[in-house]
Amino acid sequence: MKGPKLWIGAGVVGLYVLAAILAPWIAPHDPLAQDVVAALQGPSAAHLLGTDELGRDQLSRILMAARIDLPVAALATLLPCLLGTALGVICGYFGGWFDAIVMRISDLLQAFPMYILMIVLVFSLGPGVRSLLISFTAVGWVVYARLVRAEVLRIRQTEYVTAAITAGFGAPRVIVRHVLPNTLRQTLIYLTSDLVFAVTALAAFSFLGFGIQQPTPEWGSMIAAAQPYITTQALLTVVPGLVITVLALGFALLGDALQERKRA
Amino acid sequence: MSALKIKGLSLVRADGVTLVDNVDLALAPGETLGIVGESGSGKSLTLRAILGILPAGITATGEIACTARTAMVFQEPATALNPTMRAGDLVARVWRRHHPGRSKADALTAATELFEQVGIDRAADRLRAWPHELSGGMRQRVMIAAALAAEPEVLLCDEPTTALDVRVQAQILDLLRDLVARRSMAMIFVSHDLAVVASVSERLLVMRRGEVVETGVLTEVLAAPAHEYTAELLAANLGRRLKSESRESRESRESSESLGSVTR
Ligand SMILES: Nc1ncnc2c1ncn2[C@@H]1O[C@H](COP(=O)(O)OP(=O)(O)OP(=O)(O)O)[C@@H](O)[C@H]1O
Ligand SMILES: [Mg+2]
Repeated sequence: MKGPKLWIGAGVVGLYVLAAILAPWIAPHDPLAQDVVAALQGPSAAHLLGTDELGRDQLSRILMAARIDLPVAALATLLPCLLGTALGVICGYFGGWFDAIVMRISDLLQAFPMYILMIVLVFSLGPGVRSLLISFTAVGWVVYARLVRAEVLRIRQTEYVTAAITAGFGAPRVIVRHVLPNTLRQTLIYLTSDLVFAVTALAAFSFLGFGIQQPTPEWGSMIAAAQPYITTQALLTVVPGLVITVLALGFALLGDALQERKRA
Repeated sequence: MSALKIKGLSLVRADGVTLVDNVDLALAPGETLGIVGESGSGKSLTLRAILGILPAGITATGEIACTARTAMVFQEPATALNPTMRAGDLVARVWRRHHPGRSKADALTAATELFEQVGIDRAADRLRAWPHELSGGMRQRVMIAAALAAEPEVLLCDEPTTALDVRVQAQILDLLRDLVARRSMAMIFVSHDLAVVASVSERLLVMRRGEVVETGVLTEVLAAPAHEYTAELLAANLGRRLKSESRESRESRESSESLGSVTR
């Protein structure tokens, strides 16, 4: 456990998680409270990051948005990861017609650019967290399934799996105790870098109006709402943008560090 | 009566190549049989056929009658232990699998005893060790403990000492000799090294290119090899080492036999 990447990455992510947990107590104002008279103000003692077009406290909204963006981004990687791992294990361990079908479907999905597929799905399902998660899962499982399948094919050949089978353990036991735990490291590395994608994609979809809707505070939609005022109150777009970038960077560093540790 | 009987076993690859050709083999309870042969002669496949774990694409014909409980010790201690399972956990799990209805505490006690039996000192501490924390020799001892946890009547050893240095190799061979005698377990010991096989076996079976070229009582085969390939192996192995080891094992066996007859 060494190297600055790991610590900086973990520190950044930890800070965001902490902010999300503590947001209701440390946010100076109600993130939804409007004060049209005090709209579009620059930073002041009362509003450290100023106010938005409806006079809501920008800092409070940024903080509270962490409570939306973080869990939704986490789910948007976790759900595809779970689905992909389950399919990958079954395909890799048992093979056969099920494997063939799943691999055909994943070939098909991978023939399209991921973003386009997701946009089409979200567009047809309608805006909102639910349809975002459905489309992330429907598209994102493919990489996990392939990754886990390849790992399982390798692990199934190892002597410790043969030993477990000859010791009389059935397939479910062998999979849960001997195969799955040994795929986790590889999955975790990919999952961390997938979080980078989820954070930015979530913000992008919300920016485009397909994700989390106003007035709920969310970084992407905050940027979208502040767009008309970019020349007068640039901070309103710059700060949420920075917040997203730094978080994505944190996950990227973490993923890098895990990858390097694996090689070492 | 035999614990294991193989008649006319042939293993054929999908492309029609015969890997093991018409092998006959019988093992009496408590007997130790050594299988020796060059790399690729089909020793491992024969053992796998006995356990019913042939690799995909290889079909077996012939008869395998095995009434005895079997367990296997593998060649590579580096890959024969699940890296994500503690050594004691592995042994305890196998033990519980073969003692249904017994508690986890019983299994832990049994694992500790097995660790002691295979000569792992500080057994209680070592139960919690991860495989990567153990030396090659220790791992092989853990493998043997896990095999014993199934209380086998026949122990199959596939080159269990090949990956170890000479000193540790001698210790493991001693251990196996001792365990087989104490538990009156039958054993098939496979190696490409005639000297190693000779040190633990009463009977010898020589394989070459998938065929049995010679079989008989070890001392007789060594004294007067009937097949030129056996003679070649013997010549290659000749040197002080083989002579001293086979004499030593003969003496120790003779002394234990005379002891046995006294108690009987
Ligand atoms: N999974 C497999 N598929 C196809 N051929 C195989 C497979 N496993 C082994 N073989 C072939 O079968 C033959 C016998 O292999 P086996 O592993 O039994 O040899 P061995 O006597 O154990 O050799 P070694 O001393 O190297 O372990 C070899 O020619 C090998 O190439
Ligand atoms: Mg072999």
